[in-house]
Amino acid sequence: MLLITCPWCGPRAETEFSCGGEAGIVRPTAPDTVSDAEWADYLFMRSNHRGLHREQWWHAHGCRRWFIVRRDTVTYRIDGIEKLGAAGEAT
Amino acid sequence: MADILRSALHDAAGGRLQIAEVPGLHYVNLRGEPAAPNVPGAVTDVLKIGLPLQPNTLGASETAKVYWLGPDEWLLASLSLSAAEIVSGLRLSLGGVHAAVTDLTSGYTSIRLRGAGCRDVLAKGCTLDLHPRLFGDGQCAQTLLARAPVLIEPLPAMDAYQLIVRRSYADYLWHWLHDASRWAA
Amino acid sequence: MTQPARLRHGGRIHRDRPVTFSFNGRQYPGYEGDTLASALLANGVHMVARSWKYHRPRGIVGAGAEEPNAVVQLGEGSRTVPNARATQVEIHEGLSARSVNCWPGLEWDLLSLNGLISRLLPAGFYYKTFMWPKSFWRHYEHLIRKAAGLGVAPAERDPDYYEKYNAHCDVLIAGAGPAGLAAALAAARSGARVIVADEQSEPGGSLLYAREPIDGLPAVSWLRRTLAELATFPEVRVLARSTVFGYHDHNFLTIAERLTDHLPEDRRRGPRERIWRVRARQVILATGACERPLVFTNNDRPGVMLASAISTYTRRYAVRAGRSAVIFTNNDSAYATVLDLLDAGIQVAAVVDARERPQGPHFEAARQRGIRPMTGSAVVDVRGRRHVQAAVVASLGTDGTALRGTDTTLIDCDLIGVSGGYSPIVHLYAQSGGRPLFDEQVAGFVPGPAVQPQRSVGGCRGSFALADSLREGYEAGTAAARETGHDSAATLPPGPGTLERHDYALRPLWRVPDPPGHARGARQFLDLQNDVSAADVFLAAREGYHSVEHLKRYTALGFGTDQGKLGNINGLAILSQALGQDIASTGTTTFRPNYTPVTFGAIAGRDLGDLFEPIRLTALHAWHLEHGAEFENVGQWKRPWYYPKPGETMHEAVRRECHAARNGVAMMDASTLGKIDIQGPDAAEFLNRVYTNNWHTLKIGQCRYGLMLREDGMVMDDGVTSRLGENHYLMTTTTGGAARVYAWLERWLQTEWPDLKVYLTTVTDHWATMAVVGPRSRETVKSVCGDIDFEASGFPFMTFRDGAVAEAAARVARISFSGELAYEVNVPANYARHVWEALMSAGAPYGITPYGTETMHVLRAEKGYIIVGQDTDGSLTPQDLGMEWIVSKTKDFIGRRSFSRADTARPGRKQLVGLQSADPTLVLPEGGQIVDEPEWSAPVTTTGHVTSSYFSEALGRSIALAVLQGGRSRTGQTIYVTLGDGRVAPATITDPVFLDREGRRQHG
Repeated sequence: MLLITCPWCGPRAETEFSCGGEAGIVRPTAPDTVSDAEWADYLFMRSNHRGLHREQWWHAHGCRRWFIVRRDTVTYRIDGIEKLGAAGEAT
Repeated sequence: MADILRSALHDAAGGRLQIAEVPGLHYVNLRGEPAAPNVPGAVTDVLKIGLPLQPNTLGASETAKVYWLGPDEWLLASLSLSAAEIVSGLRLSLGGVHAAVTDLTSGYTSIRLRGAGCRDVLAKGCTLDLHPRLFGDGQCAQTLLARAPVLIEPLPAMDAYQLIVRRSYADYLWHWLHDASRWAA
Repeated sequence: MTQPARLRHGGRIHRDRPVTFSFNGRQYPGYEGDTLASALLANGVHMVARSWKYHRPRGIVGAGAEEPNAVVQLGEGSRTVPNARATQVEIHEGLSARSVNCWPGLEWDLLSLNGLISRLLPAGFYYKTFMWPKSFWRHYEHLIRKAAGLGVAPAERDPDYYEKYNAHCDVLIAGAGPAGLAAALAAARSGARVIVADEQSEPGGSLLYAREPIDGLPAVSWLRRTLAELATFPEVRVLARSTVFGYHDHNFLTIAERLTDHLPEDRRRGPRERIWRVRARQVILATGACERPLVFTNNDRPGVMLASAISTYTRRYAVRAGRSAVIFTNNDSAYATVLDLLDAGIQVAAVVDARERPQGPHFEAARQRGIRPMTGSAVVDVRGRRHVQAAVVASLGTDGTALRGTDTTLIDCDLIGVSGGYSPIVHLYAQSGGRPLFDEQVAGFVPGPAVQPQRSVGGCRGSFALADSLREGYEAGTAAARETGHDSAATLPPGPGTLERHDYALRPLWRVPDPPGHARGARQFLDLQNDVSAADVFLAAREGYHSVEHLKRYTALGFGTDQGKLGNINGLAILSQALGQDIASTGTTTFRPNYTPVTFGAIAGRDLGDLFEPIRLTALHAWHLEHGAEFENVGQWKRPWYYPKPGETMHEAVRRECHAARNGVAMMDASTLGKIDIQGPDAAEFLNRVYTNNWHTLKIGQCRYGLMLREDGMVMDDGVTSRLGENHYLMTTTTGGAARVYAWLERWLQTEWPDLKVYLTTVTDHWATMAVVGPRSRETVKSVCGDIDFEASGFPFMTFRDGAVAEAAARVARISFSGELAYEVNVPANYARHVWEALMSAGAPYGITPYGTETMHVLRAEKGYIIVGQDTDGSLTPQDLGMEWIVSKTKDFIGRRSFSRADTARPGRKQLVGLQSADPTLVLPEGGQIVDEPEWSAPVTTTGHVTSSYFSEALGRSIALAVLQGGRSRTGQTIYVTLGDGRVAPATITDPVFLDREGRRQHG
């Protein structure tokens, strides 16, 4: 069971969180202007990265904040956490 | 709030573990930017408590508490003021500031676990480090107890913990606590 | 009763507390403090099992977790434990045990015939033989299972209480032998929070039989003093009978503590076992090492034991494992056993040492007592079938792979102690993510670099000398505590004083050469539990199983309850030799939790029955119970399903409830619907983005139905949202979708749209919701609510009013999920019971009838209203559901762009339709697949399936909803629904709305 440091609440057990998958998936600002392929890429394609991975986590049973975890998908080592930027971009 | 009081039967249990509902509290949820004008001020105006800005802490008066829930969210619990009074008081003080004030009085109840072994009972279903050095007076935490979401507040002076739990989970949690206490000291 | 092999003095058994136990139906005496294995040996019982493949007699080999043979079934009935290791079972009065692998009996085993035909049962035998013909597998499997033995799980419900405990500490120490205790002392003295867990009945590990003194005291005295000191630290816990069985991510470790199994049943109190879930800031592994056997012909005969086990039985349990022993070693450690035997007055018939020039402190001490080993020699064979009668000794050639000549010496003995060196127990290190490295010096795998905040000390890192263990332990304890902010006062590590670090002086000997005239590796056993011999490894290598993971699965080497603790390393070495590569490149198989088996009771803990998952209750639950409701689980909620009157069937009750709702008035507890309070100036814009329809036009006091999509365009949730104020809305979600929708909405707000000024608050639990439904609902609600105008003109459909219902502040909404005139009364849940009862009284003149989810389903299906998650499955768009009317064409919203994706826009997608079976009394099965022709045979392409199906009281016939390819264009056609028994039922495709298509009733 991972120990995840919520940027607000500090280290908590994984059971308090849920993982939202890869971070940095950007929703096209004007969906109508993108091709089907580009839209499908946004919808379905993820890097499935081996190694350090930025992903979104939700402190579901704590402060209910979404934030970013940099986690190694091989060792599960957590390299760092980030609060979401006020502008929310690249999250 | 009232933690320093001793009720008539406080000592009757001889330190044995007790589980009791603490009914009659009024709960109001507040969301707002702590940096926004009026948000901390509104809470001070209505409850005479400074808004806790440190995560997992609470502010308390004789009759009310304000729990930090998130960077823009607090739970207000009051013995004396009704939820309606708190809601209207907060809205008045907030003025036009973007904030959300919501009565949740019927949505929660409190359970107090007191006496020998209460920490061990919680540890059976809670992954927080409950060591009194790390989780003591003035602190609180939202977490899971068994499979129920709870807000836990240690009451070290009373050798107790207060659990604020959503109404629909209360029966489950009540049974879980009794089961977990079966072999407690 | 006497114990013929009990030594007169010594041991840590309690001679004043005799115990009677039974093994395979016979009563034996023993003492408290004995293990089942030590007590059996004290009674002269060596043969305890038959091997699983050849059913060869097998005896006790070890004294701990590594034991492969002495695997027993404990007790009877509901408390029986399968596959316990007799070496780890403490005896108590009344303990009963039996061998698990000796069908039909240990003494006379029918299957030992297998031994005679062993040439027919090589590695992979089962794979090769029993796979053909395919259809026979089920017969083979039955026989193989029976022959394979192993224990039997209890068939009855487990009566015991098992619990879990979450713990945190600065330093967790696995193992309370010398290294672990030295670490604990150092960490404890610094003030750190320490947990020390040890799997044995008492802490001490090798100190319980060690010969060396520590700090000038006998080892056991030092042990007593150390435990007494540890007990003075309030932040230190020493757990006995507690196995650290798993090392998981981020220094999370799991410990199984056995609390009562060592006691007679009438003295057991409290939980039987406890699983500790420990989050440790620092971990010290001090799990020791396991002696490994030597591989020689017939090395599996009862009476062949690990040398260290003989020492344990002699010194710790005061048991004579034999009368006359041959000790066979390739290193110095077995000479300690020689000394132990001499001390106990047991004859040492010979010491056979594979080394040409034995050396080491124990050897020197033994030499001073007259021991003259046979050097450069090996035990190559064993005489005796059911017990060792003699060892056959021969001279080894210089490189150890062949014998020097064919001369052998026969030495009579009834005990052969073997020592092939020690294997560090690296299981937990490997589970932590580390990769063990082969160490030539140790001739075994040792921990590599730590990958978590962890240190290995003592035997488990290949430091076998007591002095090293103590020093490493103390240093690690000090360092680990320091990293958690606790500094030790400078004190010296404990030490054995005179005895300096000694040389292990091992000559690797992975396989003793075959005795003259024997096939290569036959009956040279590596894995005693799975009957894997060196010959099997050779065969596997020849057949191309070169990866160690393949070898394991082909030969079964390292499977079973012991997971190869003894034999794996020898198997790896022999495979390496066969492949001509070094052991390091062969590597190990993966070490996975659990280190030793953990009972299902302990794993389950209290997560069973009503505590398995939260049972969420509404504020009206007690009323439902009092009124005889049957309940349905919806997510975690208990919802009334229907309310049968005495003698009523479900069907009758539901018809009665439906009738009341369509003709009088009926009431349902709808409190479980998710409710999210939405506040802020951008609330309407937010709703516009998450719902398919337009929300800017909703006025205060109005309600609107919304459909929520995922970004791929598929329906995710639905519900009604009301506008409470200028910037204030209340959203409802499906019961099961509430948490998911809330997380989803917060995610969009926090990650994509932080600019939107919107706050969400979950208010599901605060509000109780009562749906008052039917033509008489207006009179009913009105009679307990004086301050709301209930005239249709003043209070139209899809609006709400605030007022007082039975004096409680309420929000009453004209919302209908039944198609009837209906009011949804919302009150704070603390008032729910009062208001519900007031409404029941108010509706009594009209025959108000409480109804449950089943009736709700019938009513909504009659209207063609979908239930998200029942009629949808995440693959349907609003268009598929015929709900284009709710999809805005003038704004963007989540999922809209996906409508034009090729797959979403294609014709022939499944669409929601109604079905009427030709037989109006037949309720089609939900999930029934739809085929186009009545004559069909599998495999067949189905074109859809039934999603909802009920008997409609209002229509007097059955109705169903279905999703069907191109369904809406096929209205009027006949399709066939499979009934699951090979038959099909014809049904006509209809519009999904069966009743009051114009919606007159709900607008009334």
